[in-house]
Amino acid sequence: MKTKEIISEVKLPATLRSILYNKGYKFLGAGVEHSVWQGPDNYVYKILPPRFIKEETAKELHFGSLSPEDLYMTASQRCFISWVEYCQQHQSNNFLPFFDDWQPFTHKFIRNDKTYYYMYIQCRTERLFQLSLEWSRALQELAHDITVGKLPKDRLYDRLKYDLYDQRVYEVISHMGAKETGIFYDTIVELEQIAKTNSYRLDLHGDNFMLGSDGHIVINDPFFIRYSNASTLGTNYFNMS
Amino acid sequence: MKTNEITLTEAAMNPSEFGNAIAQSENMGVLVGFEFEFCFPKNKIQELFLSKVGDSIDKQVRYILSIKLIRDNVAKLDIISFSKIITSVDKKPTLEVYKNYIDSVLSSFINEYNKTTAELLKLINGAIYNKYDINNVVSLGAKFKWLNPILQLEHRKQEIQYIALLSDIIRSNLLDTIFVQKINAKNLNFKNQARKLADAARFALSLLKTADFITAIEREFGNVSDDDYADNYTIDHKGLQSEFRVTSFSELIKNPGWYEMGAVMKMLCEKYLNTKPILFNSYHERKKDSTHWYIEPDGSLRPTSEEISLEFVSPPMKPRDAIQALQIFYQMASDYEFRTSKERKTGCHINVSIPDKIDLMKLALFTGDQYILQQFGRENNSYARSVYAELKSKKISSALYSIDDKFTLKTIADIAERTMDSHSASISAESDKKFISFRGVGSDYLSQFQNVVNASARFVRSMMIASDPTLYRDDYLKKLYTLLKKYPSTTTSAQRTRKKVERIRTLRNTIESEGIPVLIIDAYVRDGAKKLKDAFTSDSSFLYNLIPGNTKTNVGFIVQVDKKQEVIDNLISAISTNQNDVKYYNSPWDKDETVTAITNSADGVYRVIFYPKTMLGYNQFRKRLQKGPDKSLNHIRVQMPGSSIMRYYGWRLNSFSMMPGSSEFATKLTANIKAEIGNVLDDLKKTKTRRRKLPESVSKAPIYYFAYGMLTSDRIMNQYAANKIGSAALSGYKFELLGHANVIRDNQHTCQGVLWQIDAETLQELDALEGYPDYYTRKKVRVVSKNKTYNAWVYTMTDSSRANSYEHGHPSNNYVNTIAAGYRSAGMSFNQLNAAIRELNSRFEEQ
Repeated sequence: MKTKEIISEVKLPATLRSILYNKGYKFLGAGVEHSVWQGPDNYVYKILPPRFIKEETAKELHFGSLSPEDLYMTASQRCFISWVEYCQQHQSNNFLPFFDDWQPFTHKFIRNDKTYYYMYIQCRTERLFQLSLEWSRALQELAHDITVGKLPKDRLYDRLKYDLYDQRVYEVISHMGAKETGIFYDTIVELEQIAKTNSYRLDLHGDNFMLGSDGHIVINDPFFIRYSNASTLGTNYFNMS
Repeated sequence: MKTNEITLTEAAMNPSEFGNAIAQSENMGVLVGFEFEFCFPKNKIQELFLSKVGDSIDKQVRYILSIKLIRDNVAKLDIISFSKIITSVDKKPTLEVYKNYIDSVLSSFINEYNKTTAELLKLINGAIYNKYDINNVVSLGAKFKWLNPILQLEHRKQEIQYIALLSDIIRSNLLDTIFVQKINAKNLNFKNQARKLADAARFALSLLKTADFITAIEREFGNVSDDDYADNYTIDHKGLQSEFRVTSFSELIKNPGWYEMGAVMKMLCEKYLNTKPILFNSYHERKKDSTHWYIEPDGSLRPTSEEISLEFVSPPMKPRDAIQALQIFYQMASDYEFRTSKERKTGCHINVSIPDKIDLMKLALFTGDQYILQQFGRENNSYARSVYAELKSKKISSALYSIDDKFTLKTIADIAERTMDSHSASISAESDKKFISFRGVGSDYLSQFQNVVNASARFVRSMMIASDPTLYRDDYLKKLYTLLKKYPSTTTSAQRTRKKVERIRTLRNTIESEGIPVLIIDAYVRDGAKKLKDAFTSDSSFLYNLIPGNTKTNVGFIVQVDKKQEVIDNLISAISTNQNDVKYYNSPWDKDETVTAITNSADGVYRVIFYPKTMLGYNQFRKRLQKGPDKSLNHIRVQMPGSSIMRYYGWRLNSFSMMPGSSEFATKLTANIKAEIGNVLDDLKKTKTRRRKLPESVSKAPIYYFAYGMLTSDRIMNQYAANKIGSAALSGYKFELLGHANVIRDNQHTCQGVLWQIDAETLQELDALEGYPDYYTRKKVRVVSKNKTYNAWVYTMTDSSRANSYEHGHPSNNYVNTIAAGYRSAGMSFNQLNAAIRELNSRFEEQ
């Protein structure tokens, strides 16, 4: 995580946090765009602060009519949303996490507050390096090799199955046949292209390769902003309250 | 000689002759064996097993450690060495016994490993030193089928070194050290092995701590704690922990399995037959000798949950002994309530061998297997096809085509051999077996002792007759003549096919010369492209034979359905007799997609035949209809009555439209089709729909599907490989009814439906059914079923098809009824369906 991200982490207000805890939510962490919680249904809730909703929209809001266009988005926000949209367009791709539809955060107390929170619901993923740290690092190198064009597509299968052979991740790799590795390769290439066209940076470090509930490798939040400054990151709304 | 002048005398086949046969056969060296298939009730097994083991904790522990350990595959270790140890150490169920066991298994493992790897190590060392001699390395890799030889060589070397280290640990007899080493092991392959051992140890420890043993163990050891190991296992072995939840011995044998059954059967055999049978765990074990009784699993039986099915095989015995053994078995069966399987007809195979050569044709004719089959009600059993009936129907008549001067009795004997060299013939003389298996006895044979005895003796007698060429020679020739007298008809099937081809050609030519559009068939075919390709390329396909070499023909695939042939024949004969009254029509929009109707208006009856060339999805077809060149044509939808037939054969006709049309035409057409295919439909209604089972691998990466419309119905989904999870709710979506059911995003509503677990293949089938991606598209959503959240696929209409459906679509009554039936079967409320119907009606009223 970059230093600037740490400085400007989203922090939800104490009342909201305590209610979430009471409802069985667990705090997982906070990023520059959202506060991340694990719900009682074992899904990950990425809650966006109201700072980002356009005021005129917020006044006339009714549930179900909101879309990302109604938001003021920082570059960092936009970056995250393009990742979500990419995942939603490629739901059959098992290497991408599942994101539910864009929807309002429907809790009674929030309506009473007349404050609207918005969230993305994502499938829970586990950290791959708990299985094998070396292997998650090896994946990082591999992703790098693919993006710089060092590793041709037909070599990927051998690299994964034999060169990086590791008993601990055998279950994970056994999911991947030649066709699947091909999809994995294409996904990384496509992400690299999206990053290039939008001036994002593709950040596929070991921690970004996670383990999905069905045993697949899942790529997680691969984009971040290449050149960020205070205005693109935004100041923290909640820290002031 | 005229046929009707022949009077046949049978070789005597009656109980007194059977008795003689049994007596005589002893001198001829005849041997008889049985294979009894039956179901053993579990409650009897449990009762007998408890009485066998008794209250002895020693026996109980041994039972759990040995049989249970292996059966559940917790660790596939060498149980034989374990049983040796357990008998050598004073039969006490102590931890020490278990430690010894583990040690012995480890050392046997290492011995085995050393033996096989000593040579390998030499090769590896050589290869590693000559690393740069790449040919050497690659050839070694090829020898052991390694894909990356150099890397694998390194692995193997490390592994072998590690085993050496392990043997030191074992010598110091420290079980704990092994566990520590297991955790710290860097070599992965070894770790896998060590883990299995550790699992076994842990399993045994956990069992020893359970209810029945806990006092005994505590008296010996004080409190045994395995918490040290537990920490290391919680991450990796949650699944194993749940498997270990065993409370006591009596709990364990509540549901006795194959091994308990084996133990009990062994006990019964000692009591009744004074012999020790050998228990096999898998089908068709071949390591048999001719002195033991065997117990094997049998796949053809369908036991209930209260029974265990097995096949009990006797050794070959002298006929008198065999009959005696049969009697004892029946006594055993009545004492312990052995049953035959009711759903599937059980078999009792009687195997007979004779040292002489057998004339198989003679055997087939004299055995009279049709009487035996009739007696046991097995005429239609596919595991015991009547050899006599088969010879009569097919084999002989086809052989007669090639009758020439060289035709001798030997030719006929060869035919008999071919017919009987099958595992499913009622008299099975497979070439790799030294005996002949009579499979006619079966069904409810346990209640027909005398019949089974008679049948066995009948087989012995017919074997004796068949082995001696001089016995009943005249009768044999007469019987053979009766079999052969039924000559085939003058026209061969090839000739008949040729005629059909000619008819179809005439039809096609006429169709091409006409050009008036009349009928559009709306066909949807699952796997259509593949089936069509098969139909035109496979040698066995009727279509292929119909017009050989013509791969571009548009003759419809409907003719590949066998029973439909009658329908087609009728149509063709109608055409050929009333040429002038028949009209042929082409597809209005594309010459290549010829879709044809034939109407015979002379008698006021309309007959149809359709030849769609290109497979179109239902919705694609609808689109075509709308884009058709002649928009003024009037489309009439007719519900296809044969859709269930089509579905049965893997494809379906949803509906079809016709033009120029009137409702009268449609009604007559429907009635006519109903009349034509009604018989076939009735036949098919009797047949159950087949359902592919979900493969076990599905549970690894499950796919879920949320149904809200027609596919909530069990009846429909039973045709697919799908497991029902239960009723489910999709929040943030609203159910609506347009031309078809649909869901749209609406946060104030929740759509009710049913959640199914499916596999990738079923998803593809559903895609085709729903017209994905043109008519419906699909997306992943979160669905809650039974308080658990799933990521499931749901089909929603595409924007364009929704807009279209919104304006014009009105669902048929049948469609709505099917949805309602689905909701009823899933126990869902009708609220959302009623609301959708109200909304639909109000919209149409406004319009």
